[in-house]
Order: sequence, then C-alpha cells, then structure tokens
Amino acid sequence: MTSMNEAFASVRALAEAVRARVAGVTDDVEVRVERADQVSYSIEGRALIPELECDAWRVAMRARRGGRLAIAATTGSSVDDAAGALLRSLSAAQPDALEDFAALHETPPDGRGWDDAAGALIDRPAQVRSLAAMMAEAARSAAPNPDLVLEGGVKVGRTWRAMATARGATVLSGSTVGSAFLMVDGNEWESLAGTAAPTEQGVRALGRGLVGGLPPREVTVAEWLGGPKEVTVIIDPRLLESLLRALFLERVGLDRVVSGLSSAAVGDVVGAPIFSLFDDSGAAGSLAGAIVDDEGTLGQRKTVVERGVLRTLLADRRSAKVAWGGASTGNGFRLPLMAEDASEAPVRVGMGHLDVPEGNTPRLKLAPGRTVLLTDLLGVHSANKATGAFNNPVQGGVALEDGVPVARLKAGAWSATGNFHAMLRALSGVSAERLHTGTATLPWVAAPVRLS
Amino acid sequence: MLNSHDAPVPRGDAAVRPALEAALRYARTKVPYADALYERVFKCEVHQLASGQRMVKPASVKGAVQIRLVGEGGRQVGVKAGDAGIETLRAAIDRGMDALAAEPADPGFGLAAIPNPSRERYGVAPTDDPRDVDPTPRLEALARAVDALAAEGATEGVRVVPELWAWEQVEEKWVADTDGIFKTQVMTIGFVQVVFRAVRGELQARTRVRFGEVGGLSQYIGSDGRFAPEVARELAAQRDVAVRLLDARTMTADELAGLTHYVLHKSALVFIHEGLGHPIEADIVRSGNSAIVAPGGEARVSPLGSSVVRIVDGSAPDGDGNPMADRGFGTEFIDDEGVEVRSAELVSGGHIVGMMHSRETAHRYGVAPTGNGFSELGDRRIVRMRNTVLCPERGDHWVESLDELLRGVALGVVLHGSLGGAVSKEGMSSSTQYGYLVRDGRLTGEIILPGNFTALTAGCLKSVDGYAGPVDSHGVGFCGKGSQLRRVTEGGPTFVRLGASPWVNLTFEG
Repeated sequence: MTSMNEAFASVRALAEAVRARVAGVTDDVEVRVERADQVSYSIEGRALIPELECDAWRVAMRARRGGRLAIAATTGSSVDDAAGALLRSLSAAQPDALEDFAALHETPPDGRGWDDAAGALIDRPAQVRSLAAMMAEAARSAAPNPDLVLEGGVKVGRTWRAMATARGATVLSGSTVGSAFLMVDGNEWESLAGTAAPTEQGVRALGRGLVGGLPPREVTVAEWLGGPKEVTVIIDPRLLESLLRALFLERVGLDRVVSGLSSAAVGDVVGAPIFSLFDDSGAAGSLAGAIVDDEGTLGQRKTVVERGVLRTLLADRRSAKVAWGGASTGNGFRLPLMAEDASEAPVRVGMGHLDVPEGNTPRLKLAPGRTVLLTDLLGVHSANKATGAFNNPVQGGVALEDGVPVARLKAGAWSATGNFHAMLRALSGVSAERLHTGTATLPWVAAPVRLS
Repeated sequence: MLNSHDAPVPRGDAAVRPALEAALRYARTKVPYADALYERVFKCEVHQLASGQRMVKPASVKGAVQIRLVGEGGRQVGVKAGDAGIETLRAAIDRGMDALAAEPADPGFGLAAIPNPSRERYGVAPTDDPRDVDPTPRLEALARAVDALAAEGATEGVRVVPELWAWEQVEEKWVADTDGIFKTQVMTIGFVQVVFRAVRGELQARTRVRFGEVGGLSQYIGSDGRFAPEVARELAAQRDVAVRLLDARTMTADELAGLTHYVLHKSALVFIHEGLGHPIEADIVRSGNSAIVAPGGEARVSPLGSSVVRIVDGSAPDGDGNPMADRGFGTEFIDDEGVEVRSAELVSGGHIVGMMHSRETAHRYGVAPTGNGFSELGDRRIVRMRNTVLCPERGDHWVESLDELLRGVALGVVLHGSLGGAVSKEGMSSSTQYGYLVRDGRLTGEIILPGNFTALTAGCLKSVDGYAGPVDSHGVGFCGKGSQLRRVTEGGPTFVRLGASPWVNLTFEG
C-alpha cells in the first residue's frame, strides 16, 4: 500500500528530475506527472467483472527553446525515458506564440479533490465488489421483470500529481474519484459521480430508483405526440452538461475565436435572461476542479454567462496571450480526442466545473401538458460543432402528462433535433432542483426541441 | 505488400521476457493459471489545429501490463500494472490476489486453448523505423502539404481552414502464460486525419477524411513532400465538398417521405460496425445486451438481412472480399491473448452464422477462439472488432458502377461520410457528412447537408438489395467499448443500396 507522503514524494521526484535533466538545453520546461490506482467492478448481465489498475504513471511534458515549443509524453516512472523523449522532441520544436510556462507558487499538497474514504477503498476491492452487487440487486428487486438486463459498474480511483516548470515551486495535488453507473435494457440509465466514495445507501437508491421509477408502459412519437412535432421538453442536467461541453464550448472557447471558428464576443446575447453559467476550474469536491489547470494556471471561478449575456470567454495561456496579451482563465486542459491519451493530448481550451443557478419551478412542472423529459441523446459527440445543431436518437427519457411520468420513450423510436445555441436563447424554465453530476452542478431546463 | 515472414523481435525482449516469466512463476505459486500481456507503443505525431498551431511530437512512449489470475473454481481477476518491472508486477499480483479472494466460484469460466502454441514471433519490421530515423521531416512535410492543399481550395469570399492529425506508431506486445506460451508481435500503423472547414462570413461547413493502414506514413506522403496520388485526389475532393456544402440544402419533408432508396457510400457504412458488429460480439451477447442474438447464442432474429447480406470480421479484404492477412487499420496477426487472428463470418445469406470470440467466450460457447480478444494498453481483454466488412457473394445484385446501381431508383439519396456513430441495444445512429439526391435513376448534382442516419438493428439489413464497386475496408475509426478504444475499420462495396423501410431513417439538423 502506498502512503500519501511516499506517493507525493515519488511524483515530485520524477517531475523535478526531468526538469533538471533538460534545464541546460531549454529556455523553459513544464512537466506534469500523474500516478494512479483504480479498482472497478463492471456489471455485465449477471456477472461482476473486476478490473484493477496499479501504479499507472503518465508524464506530459513541454519545453521551450528559442521561441519554439517541444512536446512529449511517456508512461512509466523512468526519468531516462521521459527526459529522453523530451530531449528528442527539441529537434522537432515548432514556432509558437506561447512565450513562457506558468510560474508556480509554493503551496502545501492540495487535497480539494481528495476523499479519504475513497482513497482507502481502493485497497479493499471486496468492498467495491459488494457495492456493485448491492446496486444490481437493488435494481432487480425493484423490477417487475426478472429478465431485466443490467450493465454498469462501480469505480474508485486515486491520483497523485506533480506539476513543475522551470520557474517556481512544484505543485502537488491528490484527488479521488468514485462513481456508479447503471443501465437497464440498454436504454434507461442513472449515475452518480464525484470525488467521494459511493456509499451503500447511494448505490442502493440508484438501483432501486432507476428501475422503480420507470413507468411500465412505453410510447412512440406517434402515440404520444401524434407525430413529429416541436415541443418544449425538459432536459436532464446530464444531457445539458453534454451539450454545453460539446457545443457551447465551441462558441465561448477563446482559441476557437482566435481561429475564426467562433465570432462570439463579450456582450453577445447567448441565452435567455433566466440563464446564467459559471465555470469554476478550481471547484473543490469536483472532478473538474483542481488547484491548477493542466498548464499550471490557478483554478478559478468565472461568470461565463450572466442573465443571458456572455461575460467571459474561456482561455488557455496561448489564446489569452494571442487575443488579450494577458492572463489565462485557467481553462487549459489536455483534452484527449479519440485514441489520444490525456498526457499525449495538446492543451486545448476546456471547461472546468460548470454551475448554473437554480430557478424556482419544480423540475417536472417546467413544461405543462404532453411533453417528455430527455435523459440522454445517442452520439452527442457527432453533433455539429460549427453550428450548434444536433440531430440524434433519444437514449432514455419519459413521457410526461402535466408533470407526471406516464410512459417510457420506446427505445430506438425517438430522435431529437435542435440547435443548442438557439435553445439556450429560448429557454423557458430553469428548475428549482439541481444535480451534482461530478463535474457540474446544473438544473433541469425547458427548451424547444423537435421530436420525431 | 507487407508480410509476416521473418517476424521481428520486439526491442528489449531480452529484458522483458525474463521479467514476464518471473512474474508468471510468482503468480503460479498462488494460482493454477495466469497469463500476461505487455503492450508498448512508440508514437510520432503531428497536430495542426484550426488556429494554425502546429505541434510535432517525434517520440512518445507508453506501455502497460495486464495480468490475469485464474484461481480454483473459475475465479478470475485482471490487474493492470504501469510497467514491466518485476517489483511492479509482483505488487500487482499481490493486489490481484486480494481481489481474487472476494470472487465467488464461476464453474462456467474457462479459457479456450491458444492455437499454434509453439510459434513465438509475429509481425512486420518497420521501414524507416521512427525510433531510429527522425520522423520530423515527414511530419512537417505532411502539415505543409495539407496547408498548401487547403489554400488551393479557397475561392472568392471563402477560406478553407485545415486541421491535421497524423501519427505513425510502432506497436510491440508480448503474451505469455504459466503453461509456457510465449508470443510477440511487432506492427507499424499509420494514420492521417484531415478536417477541412470552409468559412464564408458566419457560415461554416466541414468535411473530414481519414486514412489508416498497416505500415508507416510513407505510404501517404513521399520523401519529396508530395502526397501519394490517390491521397491527394481524395483530400482535394473532400476539400471541395466542404466549400460546396456552404450552399447545400436539407431534404424537404416531401422528399424524405417519398424516398424509395438509400445508397450508402463505403465512407458511410459505420452502421455495419455499430448496429451489426457490436451485437454479434460474444461478450455482449452473453450479457443479454444484444437485440439480435440471445444469451444462449441462438439468433433472436432470423433472417437478419436479405439473402445478399454477408458480413465478415477479420483482416481487411481485397476488392472481391477475400481476406488479406496483413492489411487493414484494424488488423493484427495475433490478438492480445496470443490467438492468431482469423476471419469470422458473422452473417451469410442474411442469417447470423457466427460470433466474435475471446478465449473466455469461446470456452463458454464451446467454439474455437477467433482472435478478437483485445485490450487497450493493459486494460482487461474483451471482445473487439477488427475490420468488419460487408463482403457479398458475387451475383446479379453486385454491379460495377453507381450508374447501374441507381437504375430503378425513383427518389433516392447517396450518403457519404460520417463523423462518428453510437450504438444502443436496439439500434444505431451515425452522422452523415453530405449526400447527393437521386431522381429517376440519375444523380441530380444537388448536394445535401449533413444528416443523421439511424437504423434499427433487427431489420435494417432486410432491405439491402444491391451493391456496386469493389470491397474496401474504408471506414477508419476508433471504437469505444467500456472505457477502451481500439483502431478498427468498417466497409463494404463502394456503394450499398437499401430500400426505404421502417428500419432506417434519415433526419437533418435543425
């Protein structure tokens, strides 16, 4: 078992050793080291499948020399491998607007994302297994149909990080993750996620609530709405978060503006007056909050949208330098695309913890009459990032009659079409309740969507 | 053409082999059986973002080990370790034993035998090995060539903004077990993705094109900095389509309601992978999450498709549909359990005739493993697709040209490209990049905006009634399953025709 001090010492030692190894041949260097353990149990039908990960190291490095930027990444704890890769990359360094890396300040190891119970649970895999079994059993006991097909799982993980640049101190941080996810018959799903460990009560409630809350009847669009139709639907916070990260970021990321791919400007009306949005890359207790972002800028809370008006564009160090000649907003993240590992991914502008203030309407009362609550859409990643348009099959949702769930949406028989930017401007309701998704705290919202 | 004769030995084999063998000896003191997989990847890469920022990474290295411990009574657990050092591996085994103690007996668990156990070496030696030959000039040349191509596509008032992501990686793996199996593989894989964004004022349109194959980047760009001719043609064509899309339209409600046929270009066949491939993966079948195969292995839907439907997963096929052992972005010689990859016929004559298997699922279903057990860098080995392709039998239904295929199509749409798909139990969804309207058997030249093609798994193949052009595993992609990604392709003849039916649908963005 790895002690906290030993773990922090090991990531610090690697980061500082790489920095020292390249110091004489670079103008500046940035080294980010992660060391992680994880335990998960997947639910696959009746089976529980264990997966353990021990001592996974990831090293992400950048160096500057003569106005050029070099990039390299390795896994493993070898200084030789990491420094060797970075030194080799110097010959391929490219001209870059990024003039320096962050100057880091001495702080105690940061534990805003650390939960002791979650950290300890990783060394007790039997307990994680037990949580997964409880969740599945709770779901089955609430089901009228014994042939219920379940998939999902419970996961806990812990990560220690060190970030060092050529200037200043080495910043240390530790974080944990705990999550549970359950899907029924490949369609309806529920989840919980955060820095804390899942609890027995939590996973049982998840399993029981998911299955017990499903109406037995299912309907098609024709049966419920009389055919394809634009209606004001209620959007689940998890779907709202997916759309914000997939589509709204394309509008408010300063790197997109610098590239000419977004024309957004502070002062633009981007939402209804009932909609405000905060981004907090330093949020405590969030999987999207940390003491510093992936290039060493302090995590911070920004007002992105205030009563529908764009107040801040989100920036990393490069885009802030190019557009503003100023400081990053702490939104530089190594966001992997497709087959990239996070340590390999370029720094891109991303979102931290998202926070939308609550409204004053109970969530199921946001849209009267016959409507639907949409939990998820299949393949949001394929939505049109250039325009904000989406057109996807519905995966999970219920038909509502004046706020009362009366039927499930028949699997594979519904699709939703809309433009997320237009929807934000046309929001007609924000719920009084909010959900902490692990990376956001969001309400349910009501907006027009075409269902077919 | 690459081949697997005189397969190379992975670098560091002299150190890795004894470490794995020592770890397995240690594991054998605790359990009746264990196996180990060590994967290591050396990657060189270039990114060019829409901002113009260019990043060249000539050397990234990653690796991890997966150890599977099989105890008495079919108890089993997998552990991932960050490197192949013996101390790391012993610690991982000890942690795995803690988890194994919590596992209940599973009398049905077993692992099918690994065929050809005595052969040790597989793969092909890299040419211009990027570990020895600086790949930077080729990576920079790629970026310059894409920039030049994009600039040539600009028209009055229209900018073409390119994005590039390309890499070449040398993949090495070792598979060993406590029964004495020892196998290695070395493969080089090259990948190029270009996105063209056409920008006119506030209006934007984009296309994406990918190339991926066994072998390095030299197959796409020469040492003279010029694209291979077929690559240059395809890139220029997609660039020009992006510009044309600025003036494209959606289909009207009347046109959608009156559609008699969909014709899918080979770049738009992701539904073969999403809708038909995943539900025939034996682990998904066993879990009860397949809409078309029951957990016992019997088809829930028969026939699944029309009589001209035949689907094969394996190494990439040639133009006639015959497998080529060393071609295809999803191709390997052995899977991550040491099983030699062989083609699996999944659907024939419209009927489900086989499934894709790992060693574990092959044992459960009492069949031979098919070489579909793969892991993403030390993760648990699960059933994964490789190159999943519509490979029809020859007949009148398979013609040479699109013109022939369109005869008799009263109102149709030819759909091209996809930016990705997703699968649920009942069906799948994939974006389409653009389309062309067909009236009275002829292409009209009217270009159609991106849409969304959805298909219900249980019936979408029933209306497949014709093909045109040679088979090609064209659709280069990365398949996500659980938290793992794997390189794959899907494909088929150049064009696949489906009659309109309640099982398929096309919608457009709002």
